[in-house]
Amino acid sequence: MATSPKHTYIQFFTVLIALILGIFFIRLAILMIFDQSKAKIYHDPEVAENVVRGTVYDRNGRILAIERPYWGVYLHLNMIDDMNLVSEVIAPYVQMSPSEIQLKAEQYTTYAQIKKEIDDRQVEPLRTTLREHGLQNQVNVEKRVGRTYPAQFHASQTIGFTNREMEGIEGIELTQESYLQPYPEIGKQGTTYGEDVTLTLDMDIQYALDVQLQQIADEFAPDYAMAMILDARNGDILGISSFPWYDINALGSSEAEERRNNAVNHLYEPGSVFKLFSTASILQIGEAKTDEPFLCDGSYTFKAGSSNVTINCSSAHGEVDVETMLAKSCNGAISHWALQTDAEAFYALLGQLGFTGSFDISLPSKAKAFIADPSQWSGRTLPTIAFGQELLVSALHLCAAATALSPSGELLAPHLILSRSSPVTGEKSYQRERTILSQVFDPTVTERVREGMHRATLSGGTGTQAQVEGVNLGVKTGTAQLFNEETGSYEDGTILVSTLAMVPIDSPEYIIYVGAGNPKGASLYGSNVAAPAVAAIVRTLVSQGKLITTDTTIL
Amino acid sequence: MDIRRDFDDWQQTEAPLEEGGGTLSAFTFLCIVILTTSLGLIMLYSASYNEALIHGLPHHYFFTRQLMFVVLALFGWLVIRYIPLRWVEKISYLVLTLSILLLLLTLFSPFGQERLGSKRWLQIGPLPSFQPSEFAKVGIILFFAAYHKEDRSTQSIIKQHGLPIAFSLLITLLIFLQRDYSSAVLFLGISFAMLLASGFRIVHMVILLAFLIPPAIVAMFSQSYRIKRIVSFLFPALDPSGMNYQVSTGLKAISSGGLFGVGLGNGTFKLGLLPEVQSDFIFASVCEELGFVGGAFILALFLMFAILGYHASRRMQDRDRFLSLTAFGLTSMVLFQAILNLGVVTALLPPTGIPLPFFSQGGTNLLVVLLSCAMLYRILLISSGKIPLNKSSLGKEERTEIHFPAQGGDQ
Repeated sequence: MATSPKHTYIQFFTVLIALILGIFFIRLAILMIFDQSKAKIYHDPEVAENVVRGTVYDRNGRILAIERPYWGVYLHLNMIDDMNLVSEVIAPYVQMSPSEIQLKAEQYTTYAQIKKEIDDRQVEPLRTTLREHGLQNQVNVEKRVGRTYPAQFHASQTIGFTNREMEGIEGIELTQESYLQPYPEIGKQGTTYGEDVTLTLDMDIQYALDVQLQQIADEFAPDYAMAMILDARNGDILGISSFPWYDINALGSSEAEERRNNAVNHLYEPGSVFKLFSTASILQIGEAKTDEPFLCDGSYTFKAGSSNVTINCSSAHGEVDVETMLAKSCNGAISHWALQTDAEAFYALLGQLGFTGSFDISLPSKAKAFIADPSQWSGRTLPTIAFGQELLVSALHLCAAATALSPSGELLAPHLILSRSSPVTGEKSYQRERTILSQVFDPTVTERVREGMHRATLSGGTGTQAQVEGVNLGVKTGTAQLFNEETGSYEDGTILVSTLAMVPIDSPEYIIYVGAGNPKGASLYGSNVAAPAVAAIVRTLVSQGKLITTDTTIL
Repeated sequence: MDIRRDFDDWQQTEAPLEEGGGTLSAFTFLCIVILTTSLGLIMLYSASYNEALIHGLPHHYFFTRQLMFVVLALFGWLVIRYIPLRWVEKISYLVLTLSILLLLLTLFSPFGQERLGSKRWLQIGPLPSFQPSEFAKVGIILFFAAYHKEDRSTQSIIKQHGLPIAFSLLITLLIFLQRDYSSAVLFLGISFAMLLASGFRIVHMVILLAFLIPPAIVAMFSQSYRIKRIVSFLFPALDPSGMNYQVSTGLKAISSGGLFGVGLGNGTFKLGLLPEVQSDFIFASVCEELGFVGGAFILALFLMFAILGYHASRRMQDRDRFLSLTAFGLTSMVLFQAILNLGVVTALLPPTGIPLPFFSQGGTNLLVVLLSCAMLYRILLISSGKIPLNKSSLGKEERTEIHFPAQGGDQ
């Protein structure tokens, strides 16, 4: 066996460990006995007792979502001696017959909800009556707090809703949760108030959009429809409408498709409306010979690789310039000029307009538009994109991009939140500012495009039904065949009819977009489904005093 | 025939009894381990139920998980109690090799799990995840003990200590690459203690440290969070709510305990104020609830552990160098870990992530600690003469014959 050398390391380590533990012992003694007076004893912090969720307003101060108390009537079934007496006493206040009350009470075992909400004015009289009959321990008039949405189904998908715990679940209620419903303030008793949120929405305009979508729904029974109005001067979203819709106050009976915000989240091939942006891009790049008129004989054939591709027009448009192409929506002409334009530059400019990204308007989802990278394009992709196929966009993308067609050529960020402010002091913590995302087009380019839009409303144009007397507006209609993913074909796909308008066309104040998916009827085009709706919306704007006609007398 | 040759410790069993001052050390050690483990489980439940509820888990989640490892350790304890010790000696090199392989697997295979910025855990199939660095500590201790079982004092210093130093540095590097600096430092501390125990001179140790300290400092400052930890340790007033929040809150918890504490289960700092209260900072919660008396009692338990563990090592020094070094290493491992943890919680050392043995949540650590205790217990039993060093090769009848030789046997 090996003989161990006489090391003293064991004694050394024993003493060392003992010393270190001794130091800890002294340290603990200092901390826990001698320094004890300095110790900060933890107490539960004083916090506000309750939090009032902020109110959501439209830009005119109309309430869109508000927290308010309500009173319900409940029975302590175990404590009730005479059910007949109780039901007869409370019947007038809950507007139910005694037998109905008893029937409802039978559904419960201990605590029965007889009426979820009674008229506020009935609360005190009911309590007095209960005291008179000695029933105050058997019947409970309970106060609860809930969220109410006075606008009901108007802008319902945008406003969103809360759950029973008053937590935002969808829409603005969700994204603004931290402002609307902050944590209870520390060091304060009483109430913490959430911030009020003012949206850029104008409920007068919202109503106008909703009325027109309902009109389209009644007449053409589309599967879905959407409409949007933007303030062309600052990017404010004045109205977002999405059909089908739901009443937020009756959330339980809503369907998933009703809760979807089509105007913001539905991505589709926009069709000829997109010619506005492809035309402006072609003009801005300046490589196409747009000064030379294009002769349209009803179709346009070009060579893509080894095969010939033919693009059809709705009719032979004859000799067309840029403005006429937009007015008559000539597929051949835009295809011809698109083929003369560099694909990379075209793609880059469309990307600058937001057609390869998403816009953040403070809603939970941000739909991302899609155009394939030019390296993946086939021989026909460039002209196809130019007349609005082979790409995916939302109504929001189209409206936001249209801000760049204003005389300045600046692309503006769309906004949905106008301000946030304290309901106590009125102090604003956030105020929307006009945000220029990029300078996209030259004024000469936007002028030509708007001229084309204006001509579309004149005789021979596709948007004559959008014309409103005394209003100088411009439109672009579109009727897009949508790709059927199941069959992999456009032939048996659905269609989407739409119209985008700018009004007044010389110096646009409003950008209006109306679209309807898969409408039913004999004649289904953007020009006869969506354009009349645009006209009706413009007339409403005039009647609301938000738009001045040329024949308006200003005193 | 002299059948006494089969009892290796025939003459040695009596000597330690006289030197050691009694045979109760093994029993005392067993009581300390049971007491500390039970106290650890109780305090873990008290400190962790809120954390479990916050994460939507049952209130007893951490307690039950820890208890499972205690039960597992009980089985391990039985195995270690009865297996031939030569087997342990024989598998020492294998344990070290396996530890290195597991560390490599953690680092370079998809089985390695990254949590909270470091890659310390290994998750193989349905097995519960574990930290190979915990096994590596035992691996290096057994390796040192087996390597220096033979007297190598006549060999050159390179032959004597080169291989153990090389393995120690390699494993330290692997643990460091897992971004587990504190475990790497602890491992290196254990290795150095084993080096000293195996005859490495102090002067050589100073030279070795002179070479190792500069790269260690560079490594320490290679991550911004470590610099922040050091700065927040040196200047706690600079950032009381930042990196130093945990330590300063831990100190408040300790201070609020006073002499007798706020009572078991009545602590408030564990209710969301003190991060990782069930893990690295459990001692703060113990002090808050059991007071100075409770904290001092735990220190006393660790002191007793040290005395008995090193006592076993000393008594085995002349009888079996492998067991002596093993006892020394395992005792040091548990105590170094406790010292690092207690130093951090009482703000005497910069913040690290070393758990408190027997108390902190963490199954692998508890399992390794309890199995080390099992080994120490066996060594204590041997050293106090309760059981022989090696099992006799004779049968039962033959052994009986030695004690009760047949009448007129040798005719």
